[in-house]
Amino acid sequence: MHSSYTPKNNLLFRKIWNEKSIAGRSMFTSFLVPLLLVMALMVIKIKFNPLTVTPPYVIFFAIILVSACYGGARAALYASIISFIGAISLLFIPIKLSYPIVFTHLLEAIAFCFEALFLSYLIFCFQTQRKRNKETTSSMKAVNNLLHIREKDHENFVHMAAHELKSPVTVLKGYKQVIEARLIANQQKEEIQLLAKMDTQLEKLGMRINDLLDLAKVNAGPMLYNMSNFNINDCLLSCVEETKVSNPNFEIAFDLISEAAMVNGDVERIQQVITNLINNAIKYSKKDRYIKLTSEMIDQKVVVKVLDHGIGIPDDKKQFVFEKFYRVNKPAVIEKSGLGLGLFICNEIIKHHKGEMGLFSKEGSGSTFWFSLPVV
Amino acid sequence: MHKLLIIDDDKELLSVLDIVLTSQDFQVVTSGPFCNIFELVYQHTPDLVIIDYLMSPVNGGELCRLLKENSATKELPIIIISAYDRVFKSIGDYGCNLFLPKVIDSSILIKHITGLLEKRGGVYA
Repeated sequence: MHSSYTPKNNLLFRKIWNEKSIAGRSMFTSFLVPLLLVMALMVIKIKFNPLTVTPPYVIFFAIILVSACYGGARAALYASIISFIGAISLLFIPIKLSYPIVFTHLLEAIAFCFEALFLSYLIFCFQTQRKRNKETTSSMKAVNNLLHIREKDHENFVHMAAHELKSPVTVLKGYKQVIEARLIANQQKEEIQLLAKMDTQLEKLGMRINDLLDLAKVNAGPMLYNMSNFNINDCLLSCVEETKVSNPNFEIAFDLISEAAMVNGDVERIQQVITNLINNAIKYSKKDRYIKLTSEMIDQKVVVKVLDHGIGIPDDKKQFVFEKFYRVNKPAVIEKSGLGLGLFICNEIIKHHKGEMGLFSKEGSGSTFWFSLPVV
Repeated sequence: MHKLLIIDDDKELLSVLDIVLTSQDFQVVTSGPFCNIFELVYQHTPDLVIIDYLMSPVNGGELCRLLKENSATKELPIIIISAYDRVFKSIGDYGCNLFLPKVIDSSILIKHITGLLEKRGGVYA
């Protein structure tokens, strides 16, 4: 993101060293300006002989710097050469002065020459480096813009692809249910079983498409939230009802606090979290097909727990389960397909609601995933 | 017998929903994207409307909003279905009675339709 704020010293620097202006100076003016400055100095020194203790060669260095600010390294080089010539000429021009105005000896003048040229070289290096930095920044900005556009295109593509995939799956599911109703009416048990297998694959396909959408959302950046006050128990009961309809063979017990537990949040997102936890509990359950939801008040927070008697999570893996793309490396987990984004997204949602999320688990016995939200 | 109006640009989905809901003793009217939603509603006088969100050239959410902002049709139960499970909700609700993400389970859809029809008040002023 480009900021419009520029610190004051940065503005001052830009006024002193204006690269755009420097680049626009012609060779003639880059030569003329230092020449005029050196001549002016020498006239002032000779004619008026100001009582100043500033050594003249210091003023020559100042002329080199001023010339650099005017015309860059080229003007600085001209200023160096002209200053040296000016200083040398005073050694050989027969002017009677009460004291030397520049150098007393040729060697001093030569030393000054090297110093001046070195200063010009430093200015040249500085100018070159700034130019390189600017080019690098420009190309990085261009690459970032291109990446941003590509990411947006990619995100749009994923959304459209998911939409295009979900619609035919919905149609297939609808026809499957129509055929199932007719097979049930005709008591064709074998065909009903085959249809059930087809339905399992359709469910998997639907879940994979949702995983792709989740991935697109995660990559798209921060989620949007629609905040309001609501009773968390209503949210839990709604999720339980939905789950019972699609999982009639599962026993879903619940033990909720009797009084209303009002929280501030996005009810749809919290439902997404609860549904995800319930679906995981169902997914990794063993034969007993039992899960339990509870809610309780602890220290001005409502704590929701989803308990299952499933395969559990090894102790050394628990710290990773909320990480993006993490899936416990066990056959019982790997055979259940998924991208490992569900818990990561849930944790992000709860963190946004200023809550916490965690788990208790014993491998082979089951898990309890919990989250807490502050009450209003 | 309750009448349902289903608006979607996917003809196959319209066809299967027609079969599924007709088998449940609903009278079903299907339509592709239709800009003048009021003309459609006044012509068929449905008891409930199901609209797909992502349609072209008219957005299903906007059709829902138009119906909900009109005093004559604001009590009409509207279900929006979409492949997007969250996007449109975060930019405003359009006032729909229910949002169902695809992939839709027919039994869940029927359950929700029945529930909304039991709750509804007067449809037309």
